Amino acid sequence: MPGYLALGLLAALVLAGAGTGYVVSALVRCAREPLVAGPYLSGMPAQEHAVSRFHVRWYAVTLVFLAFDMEMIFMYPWAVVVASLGTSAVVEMFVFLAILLLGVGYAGREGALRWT
Amino acid sequence: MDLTGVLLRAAAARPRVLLAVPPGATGARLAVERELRRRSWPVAASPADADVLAVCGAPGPAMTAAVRRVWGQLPAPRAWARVPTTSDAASALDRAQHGVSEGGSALPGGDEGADDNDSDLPGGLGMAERAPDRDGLALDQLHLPLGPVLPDWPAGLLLRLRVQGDVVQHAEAEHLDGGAAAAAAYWDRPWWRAAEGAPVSTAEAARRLVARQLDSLCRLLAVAGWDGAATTGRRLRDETLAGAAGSHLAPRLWRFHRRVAGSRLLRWMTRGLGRLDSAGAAGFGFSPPPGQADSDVVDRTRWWLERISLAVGLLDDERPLADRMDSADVLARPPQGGPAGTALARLARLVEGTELAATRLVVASVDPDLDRSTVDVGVGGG
Repeated sequence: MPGYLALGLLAALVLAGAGTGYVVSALVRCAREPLVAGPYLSGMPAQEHAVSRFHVRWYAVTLVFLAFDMEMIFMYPWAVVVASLGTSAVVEMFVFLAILLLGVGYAGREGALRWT
Repeated sequence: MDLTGVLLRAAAARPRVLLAVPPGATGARLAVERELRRRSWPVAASPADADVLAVCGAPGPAMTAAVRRVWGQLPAPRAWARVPTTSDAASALDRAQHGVSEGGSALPGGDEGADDNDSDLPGGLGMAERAPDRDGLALDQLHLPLGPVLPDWPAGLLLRLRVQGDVVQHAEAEHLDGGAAAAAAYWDRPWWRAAEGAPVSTAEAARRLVARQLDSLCRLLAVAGWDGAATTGRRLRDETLAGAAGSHLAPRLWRFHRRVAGSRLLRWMTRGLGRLDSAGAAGFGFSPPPGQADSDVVDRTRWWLERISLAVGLLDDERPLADRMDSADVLARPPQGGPAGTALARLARLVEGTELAATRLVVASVDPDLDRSTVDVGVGGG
């Protein structure tokens, strides 16, 4: 079917789907306005806005993931050619991995990866 | 358009109920839980999840403020059920169900209205302040109360936490007001009646003891996420209190005991949490296992299971309780007062440095019975 007709049909379908949601909601709702409520703090009042950062332990784990993610980017092309390159390629990649693991080990010993 | 009516009636068939339990309301809470289980109504985890707010017993001023705030957070259709005594449970829940099918009712005295907003800050609240971290950083700190109206939480306990991310940096424990006579501790009543001279049988005391340990244990299991075992345990608790025959109960109690005691996952999950030394454990009525200086959550779970197993044989024993009151066995007289302020302070220190899940597990494993306290310690916030 011609391009613009397909596009128009898709747009109409999307609007119909979203519109159905709004129409059904307006027909069956019990209250006119959505509830304005504070956060559930077991019945106690909130003392500040809840926007805050994660605990620092998550950031340490994230950095470790990032380091090994970049290492994986090197491993993808290496995996394609390692069979034809032979043992030396394997040894080099594992030396690279060992250097990264040394870094993680040092961080662990220094307490950077402590959980609580 | 009657579509709303149809949906309201469908929702009212099994409304979700949020329980608000002030201290001194254990009997009413047990009655409500029994009714909910009988009707297979789900228990809500938070006000957004709830259709009915069931207020057990008689809340004091601080608890009433908390209940009103929670009521303001329930979306329509909503209804509330007041259950001052055990006999009111069924009728109050019926009225609440009818209220939900009608589209919701209001708390007498008006709702908690929306707060006046400071136009600059959302909800009139400032951003979180920074405070020193364990690593010497300065990170945002939130004030998180684990307070009165929380599912599977000891009645009357308010734990004010300062959390960074999900790790607790500082905790303070408070005992909220009771309103009703705080001395009417539900679980200890057979012993006090026997001490006053009323004829109380060993069976009655043993049943109450077994039910009490099952109640604490099932709260821990529910907090740990093992809902199947928690439901089984609560059914056993209700049947024990209702007076089912000991010969019928004993094999099922033993099966439950084996199931919970043999769970490696539960032991692995709770090992090493909440280590209390012997003085701290004594403040809450525990004793560490023989040969060990301190007890963790696994030890306290095992202690509860052991007390159940010791009392199972006594469920039909009609001899008077007065013969056993002063002995060192499982049905000895319980301690007079509840956990003192120092015990609660020790609980707060125990919880500092753990993450929120571990906090809930530790508090559920200790399960302080604040109904026993005849003196109101501390003043409720809010």
